[in-house]
Amino acid sequence: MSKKKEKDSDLKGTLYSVGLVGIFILVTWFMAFYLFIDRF
Amino acid sequence: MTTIKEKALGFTIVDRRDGKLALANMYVAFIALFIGGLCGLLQVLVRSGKFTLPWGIGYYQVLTVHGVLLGLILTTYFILGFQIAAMSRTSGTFTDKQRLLGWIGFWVMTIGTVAAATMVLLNEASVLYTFYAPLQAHWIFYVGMALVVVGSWIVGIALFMKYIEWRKANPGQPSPLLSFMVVVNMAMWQICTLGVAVEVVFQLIPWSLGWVDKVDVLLSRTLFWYFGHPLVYFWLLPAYMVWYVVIPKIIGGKIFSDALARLSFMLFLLFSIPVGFHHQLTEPGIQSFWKFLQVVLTMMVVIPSLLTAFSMFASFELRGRQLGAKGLFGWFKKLPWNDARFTVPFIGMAAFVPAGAGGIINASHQMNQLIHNTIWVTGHFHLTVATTVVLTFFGASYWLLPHLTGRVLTKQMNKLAIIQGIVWAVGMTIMSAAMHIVGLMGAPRRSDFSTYGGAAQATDWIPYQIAQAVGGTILFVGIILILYIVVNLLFFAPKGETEFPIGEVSEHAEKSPMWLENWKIWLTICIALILFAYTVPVIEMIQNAPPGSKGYKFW
Amino acid sequence: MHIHKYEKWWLTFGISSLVLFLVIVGFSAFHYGSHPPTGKVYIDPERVDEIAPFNNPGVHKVEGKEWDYEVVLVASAFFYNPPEIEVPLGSTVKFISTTKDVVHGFQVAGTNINMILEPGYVSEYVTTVDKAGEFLILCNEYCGVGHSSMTSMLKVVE
Repeated sequence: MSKKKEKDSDLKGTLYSVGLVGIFILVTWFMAFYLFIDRF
Repeated sequence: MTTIKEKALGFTIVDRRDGKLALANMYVAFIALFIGGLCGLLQVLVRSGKFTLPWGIGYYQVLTVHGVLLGLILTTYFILGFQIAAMSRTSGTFTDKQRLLGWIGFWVMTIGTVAAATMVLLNEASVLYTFYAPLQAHWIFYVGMALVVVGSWIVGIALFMKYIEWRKANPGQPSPLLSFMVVVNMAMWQICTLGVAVEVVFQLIPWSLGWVDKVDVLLSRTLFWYFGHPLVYFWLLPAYMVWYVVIPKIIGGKIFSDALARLSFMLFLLFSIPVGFHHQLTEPGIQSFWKFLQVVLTMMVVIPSLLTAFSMFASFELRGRQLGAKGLFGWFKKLPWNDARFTVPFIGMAAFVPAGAGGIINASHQMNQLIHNTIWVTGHFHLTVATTVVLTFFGASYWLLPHLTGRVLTKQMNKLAIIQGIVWAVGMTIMSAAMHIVGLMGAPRRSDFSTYGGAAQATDWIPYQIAQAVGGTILFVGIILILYIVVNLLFFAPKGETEFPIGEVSEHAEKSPMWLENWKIWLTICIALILFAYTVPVIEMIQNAPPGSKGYKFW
Repeated sequence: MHIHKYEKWWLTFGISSLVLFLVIVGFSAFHYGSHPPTGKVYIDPERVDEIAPFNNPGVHKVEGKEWDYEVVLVASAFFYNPPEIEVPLGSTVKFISTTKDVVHGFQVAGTNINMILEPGYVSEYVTTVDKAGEFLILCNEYCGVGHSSMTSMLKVVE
């Protein structure tokens, strides 16, 4: 069990990396959505 | 089974007879890359408005060659060659019968390719690789394309037979991960190519031969896109195979999770196919409800890519920390950046972030109107297939080709390969960014240079089209570089043994559950989803069909 | 099957984002009617010129409908009829279009008006033109050698 916990704390960089990817996806999607709403 | 030589080397070598078959596929793939790439260069030059094609060559003829050779021929041949080698490497040497099937498939595909290419060059088939009925090509073009598909099925049967043989010899064992992935990809290919086969055999061939007068246009497009979206996953999954199985070994780490890798491949099998309507969102004759349903299924196919992103970062971080990396991102610096087998596919991975984000926008139902058939879409798939997939394939070539030819990648070639990756990244950033931006401004894809009657909007597009030409020219330099390296690896590199790297699963990971390999369950769900997504709208299409269309030759 | 804690967080975040996108587009489609263009009307592609409303292409003011104008536009290789359309700023317009031969596109550059025209089908899209200016109409679905010379112009005037 202690080994697993150790492993869990190892992947902080991964969490932040995928988090940045996710934020990028959200931001671009809402920019496109805004453009869609703005146009007729 | 391990030979003395292999024991001494510490790794398995693909049987030379299987290697020859894999290499035959590679030859065709790289010839296609050269001709198709040259056509791409001509296109960006024409579209800059500064250049016209000589000798009466048509823009759309060049575009057809580019699309068919790079989208269908390069990809299919490379993938089959890679998968033959991967199967032989992980499940054992092919039997003579299996290998013979592989060769028959190869020649059927090649005859088809030559037949179709001849018709395109004679300007009898400028219908682009998406066919565009009721534009009507020469029947030989359609027969040629059908042979390419049938040939790929025959190769697929050889791969399936090998897999079944392994499973029978090892009851109760999960199959080798790479073999399993190959079989998932070929199962998806088998199911999705049925759509385009039905279109070509039952609609386009009889119609182009004059046996029937008319074609149902909407049905033909629906059958095409039933195939057309899984096609892009057929390109992507071999890249994912390299990422999941090969890259961890190259960086000296472990496969993060065998079970999650298998799960993500099975999710691709389920959700790649019942999503073709997201290519038809602006078309008449399909009810909005069914379009939206397939949009929902399209979003599901994003999930296995989310899993993959995590697995990649995790195997990088674990390896970096093992090497003593500190801090949040210290592991990033510990990766083997001077190894082309890692760096080139890594550039491909990075490209998949904007590519994926763009893809989600494309599939977002009515938001598709923003970009449908604009050159944004071209920019999008030049990131997905022409960067993510292709750079991973290039990166794989740097060990696969010397492995098969019994040569080694020299330090010099490795350096050149990294330069090639950087050249590609620079060229593609310029070209793809220009395409995305000008696409949002309204510039269409698949179009010759035009001032559109001097319209002010079209004038604003021209600087971006020049940027595309700059990026495209840099990319062509990239093609010359890769071909130089490939020729070196095939014929001139020093003799030696190169490893076909296969990663091992982390020792902490548990054994993958067998339900992940229960094909009865997965194929049943897969077919149920397809029927759910397509049955009602296709019946409506057929019941309410307008009078069909006769053929036109407008080029 | 063991899934790392952070991977669970990531999947939750990722899947929630996808659900959010679907809720937004689904809600605007099925509640506010912002669907992608579609059409359920079927027509004989070889008799387009004889069938209303395509026997009279152009801009028509209408009364008692949810829209003020109907723009009827016929596409064929490699023309749009009419070659120019003028509608007043702020009016709600229904675009009704079909093709006489192969598949064509009907895209108004810089707007959301973007639909595929298929032989035998009538494509429709309703929108309120709330920006003045000249918008290029062009064919964005490959239709043959004259594909990129196929244009019309939408003028939104005050």
